[in-house]
Amino acid sequence: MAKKQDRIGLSLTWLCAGSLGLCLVGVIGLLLLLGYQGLSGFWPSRVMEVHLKGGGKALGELVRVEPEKKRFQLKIGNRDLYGLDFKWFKDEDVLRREWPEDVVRVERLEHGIFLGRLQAIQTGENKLMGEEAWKFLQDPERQKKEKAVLELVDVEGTPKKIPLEVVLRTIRPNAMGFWSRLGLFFARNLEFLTENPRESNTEGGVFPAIFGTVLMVFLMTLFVTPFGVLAALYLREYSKGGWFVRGVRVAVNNLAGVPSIVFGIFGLGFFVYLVGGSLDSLFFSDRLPSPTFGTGGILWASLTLALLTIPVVIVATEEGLAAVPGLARQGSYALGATKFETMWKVVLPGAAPGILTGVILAIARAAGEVAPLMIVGMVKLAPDLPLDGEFPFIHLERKFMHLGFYIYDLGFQSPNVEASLPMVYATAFLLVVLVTVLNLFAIIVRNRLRRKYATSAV
Amino acid sequence: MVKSGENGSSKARRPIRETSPRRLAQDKFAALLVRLGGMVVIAGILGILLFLIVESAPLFFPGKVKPLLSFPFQGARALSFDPYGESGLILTQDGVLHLFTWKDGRELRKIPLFPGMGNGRQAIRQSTSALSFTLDLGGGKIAERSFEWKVSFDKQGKRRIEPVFQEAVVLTLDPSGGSLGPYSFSRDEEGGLCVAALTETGKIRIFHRSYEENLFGEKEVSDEHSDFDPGEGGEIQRLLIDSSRQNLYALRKGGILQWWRLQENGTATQKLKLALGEVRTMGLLFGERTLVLGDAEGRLQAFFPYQDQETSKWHFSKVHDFPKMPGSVSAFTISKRNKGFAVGDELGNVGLYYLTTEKRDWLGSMGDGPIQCLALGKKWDLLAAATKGEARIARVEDPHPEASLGIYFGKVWYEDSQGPSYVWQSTGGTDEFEPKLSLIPLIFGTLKGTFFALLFAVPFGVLGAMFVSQFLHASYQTWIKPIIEIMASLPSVILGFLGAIWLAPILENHLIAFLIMPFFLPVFLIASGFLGMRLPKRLLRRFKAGSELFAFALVLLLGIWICFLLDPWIGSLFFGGDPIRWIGEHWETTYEQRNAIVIGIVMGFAVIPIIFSIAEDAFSNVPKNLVSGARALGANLWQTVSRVVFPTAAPGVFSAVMIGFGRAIGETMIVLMATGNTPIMDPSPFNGFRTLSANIATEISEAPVGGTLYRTLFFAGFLLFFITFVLNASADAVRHRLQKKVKNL
Repeated sequence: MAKKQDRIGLSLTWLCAGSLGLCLVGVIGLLLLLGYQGLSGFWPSRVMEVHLKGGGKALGELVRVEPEKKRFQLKIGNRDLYGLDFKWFKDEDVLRREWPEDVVRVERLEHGIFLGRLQAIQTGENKLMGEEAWKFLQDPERQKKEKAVLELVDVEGTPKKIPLEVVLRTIRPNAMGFWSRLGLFFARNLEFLTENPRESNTEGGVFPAIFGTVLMVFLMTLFVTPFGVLAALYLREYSKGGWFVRGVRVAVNNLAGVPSIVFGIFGLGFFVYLVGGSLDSLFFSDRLPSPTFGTGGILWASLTLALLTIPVVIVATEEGLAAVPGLARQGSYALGATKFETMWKVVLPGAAPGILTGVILAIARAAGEVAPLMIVGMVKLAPDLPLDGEFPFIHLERKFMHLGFYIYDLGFQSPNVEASLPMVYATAFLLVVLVTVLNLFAIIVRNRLRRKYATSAV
Repeated sequence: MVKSGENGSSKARRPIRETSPRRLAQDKFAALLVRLGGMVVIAGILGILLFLIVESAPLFFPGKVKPLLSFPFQGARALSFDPYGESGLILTQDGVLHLFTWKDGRELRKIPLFPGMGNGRQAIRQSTSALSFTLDLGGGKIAERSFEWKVSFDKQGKRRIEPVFQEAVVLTLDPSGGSLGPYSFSRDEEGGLCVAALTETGKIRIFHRSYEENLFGEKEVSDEHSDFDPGEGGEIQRLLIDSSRQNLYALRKGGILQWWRLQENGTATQKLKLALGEVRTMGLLFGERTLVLGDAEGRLQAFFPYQDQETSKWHFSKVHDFPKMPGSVSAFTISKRNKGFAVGDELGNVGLYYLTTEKRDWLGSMGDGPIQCLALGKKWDLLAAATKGEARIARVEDPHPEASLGIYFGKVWYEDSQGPSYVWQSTGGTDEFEPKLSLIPLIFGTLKGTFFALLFAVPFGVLGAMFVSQFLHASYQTWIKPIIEIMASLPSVILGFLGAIWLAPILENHLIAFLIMPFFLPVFLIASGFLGMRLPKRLLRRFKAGSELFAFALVLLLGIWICFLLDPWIGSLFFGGDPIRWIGEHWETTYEQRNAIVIGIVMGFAVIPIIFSIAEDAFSNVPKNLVSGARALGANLWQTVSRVVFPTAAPGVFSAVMIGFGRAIGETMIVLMATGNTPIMDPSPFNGFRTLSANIATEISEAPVGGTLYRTLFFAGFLLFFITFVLNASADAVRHRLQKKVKNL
């Protein structure tokens, strides 16, 4: 009998272990998936030449293989010639596959990539043929001096001329070795982080989104830190307790559970329409009816997120304040310090790691939050950064781009979802890395604080 | 830190110095600042709730009507406002139109309607596009005249509004010259004219005149008419035809309302015995779909025809009852903006009604004696009423007539639908659209998503927490807990994106693999556990407590792989190779790629860490002496956990589930991205839904500020705030009581 109970107990224990195991597999798997999908878009893949049984030929990068449906998808590029970036091929239609070394892949400013073969380059009066032309493309000094036009043909032999000004990079993907691939991989990563998006966000970089996110989070920190710390100080050090403070503490704790979209509509109704609308009618009445502050902008977004994250800062700061031993306060008072001096010189420095934890957690939350921002100030493409050399340098009323919203917009609202997927995955990976690193940092700081608390409480 | 005190005591005693005033002031200032800062934050938190209430409260305010102007005027028969509400027309009994400015009641012009055409029966018809007047000329002929308001701007840019009248049109309905019985006139949107009239032969004649431009740009007139037999059933007293020429209503002697659907292939008809007294007014609301009758006892009822979706047959039914007017109904007019109407009675009262809500937004006196005629401003902003000797103009303040608690939470029978239902459809293609603002489909969607998420998250969160707190070696805990915290911090936009772009296609292609997992994986896990027991004991002892976790993670991966291997095999064996088609054929549901299972997995993934961390807290707070006591009495580890730890921590687990519930209710991005966002009410896991939060996110940007939709979305936000706040607060209370109880153990 006992044996049977043991067995049931063991089985249930294993189920517990399995649940936890699946969670861990899920988290780690998700990070790996994002990492793989996010980074593989930057890796220069080989270009396949497909000879079809009907006699046609196609050139493209292998995107997806579906073995059960016996088909594969190529990114054939050349949107200006074919109209479509992607094409499915059935296995049965394919005669043979080749990876010819002379295929060139041209990254350009419009119409996506071009895949084909380089015939010649027309520079000024002379025409460079074959290898000569390829050498010219490897020499940035010569390219600066001369105006040139690339004469290319696609896989079927259709000629295409591309002026050098719109060409960003030309490579022969099938002729590259591992190290040159790696070099290109890092170059593309850097491009992604530092450049503006191109071609309705399907190519280029996400710099404005990174910049917008960072600036918005910075502004939010300016609001949330002082107020969060003041509120925590009030609740723990200055208030006399009682039902009111208890009620407020419950409210603060529960505010963290209120859906972010609620903060979003609050921000829209209060900040954008009420405050922003009044500001407009007071100071910018000459620009009406086109709104200045009466529409979504970076200031309202950061204020909304400050409200959203203030419970995080308050709770963490309170924990930090609680970690400062009472003896330290009493010692300070005994030496004749005023309450302010005790707070400023003894308690707050002691609670600093707690405050820091709270602020970092708030930043991580704000960096990943999208729902409220959709309503109060983000756009898919902001032509101007909110910070520039024009007086007053920081333009709080401007709209901005945000990494999280960029993912939503690009993955769901863009006209060419398939072409933008590598960018979305890369952005998602960047965001996950950012949030994870911030959180790990906060966890480490907090654990050190707890250890200190554990020892000092004895 | 304590050392500084020792240093102090070793020094010689110094005289006690007073704290300097500067430091005292500084201290006072700091205290003030902290209090102020704290208060600002607290005020901000309360402010959010207050703001949501302030923004949504006007939805439920009754309407207000404020008198603007009254002036004596004799014998008014009809009233009308221009689109801007600046001037208007009054028709008198003698067939003369008087143009007024409503600012001061000054008469500008007199326009005789049918000069030299005699003084026969007159009728006024207010249809969606025009106000028309008709005159029975006798001998089967009818004269018609209509007008429209023309807006022009003079050189200074000043706006002028003037009524522009068309020439009177004479229609010959009965060429044989017989006199006409009751008739009804309407003008369609293309300017065509339509008359339904009872002829001397006892048949109803439908006459239609349409204008078409020919090749030379000239208007060509074409007349056509058809007759039909109205059948037996009491003398026809009144007729009413709608502007689409599809529905004809007749009031018969003996309180019978008959409706005909005039189709190309004959007519459908239905008779209703009215539960009304003598019918005094009869009119079609904006959009010409709904008929409203008012009787001598002040009762008001609405009727409309609708099509049965399945049989595609047309029916006619009484749909709405409205609050009674104090006196018998004497005047009726419609709003040309929404489904509102105004009713006047013989005691001088006027009521403002709204069709969808079945409510009277305002009731008040607009004169002494019976109200002769009424008019409503184009924007539901003005009201005019005339009694025998006086005309009164008033301002209407009723910005949200279409909102009420009944609309949000009750079943409503909307126009064109075949019965009362819960529908969310805030905007439609035309102005005549009746907004459908039921929150029930959205609440249903919210609960559906939450249910599937919790179905996934509760077992994983609770069991995982139990394992970490009770079975896992402390050295593992220090890095497993941070992983769960990372899991909690994953931005929901990323989870939603992966759910929609990565998971949903996999689920669609391997549906069976996912459906067998909940059954196969536990069995597989336990079976491999017993297999693992056969490993040499010496080997097993070398691992720390809880190391089996990693073995099981691998086993699970293997199990998932097996499920995917089984998928095509089971699919072709039981479901003919295409389970999705099988579902569509055998169950009354359709398969959407972004469905509730995707949400269950993805949102569950987001909720697991929340449930986990609170449940873990509750388990670890169970006093160690209880556990040791149980073990000392001979209980094994699992018995201790199931009989001692779990019951003690159960309230904490309950509060963990509640907080997870709160999180799932408010989650926006995941549901926005990984469901189809269609507000349907279908509990099937294979299709999507729309939640309150996703609804706010999708619709708020298109909602005009201060409008009904805008405020409705704020009301939805208030509901979300309220629900999550109550959930979290009660979960908090449960946890606190648990902590107190545990302390006393």
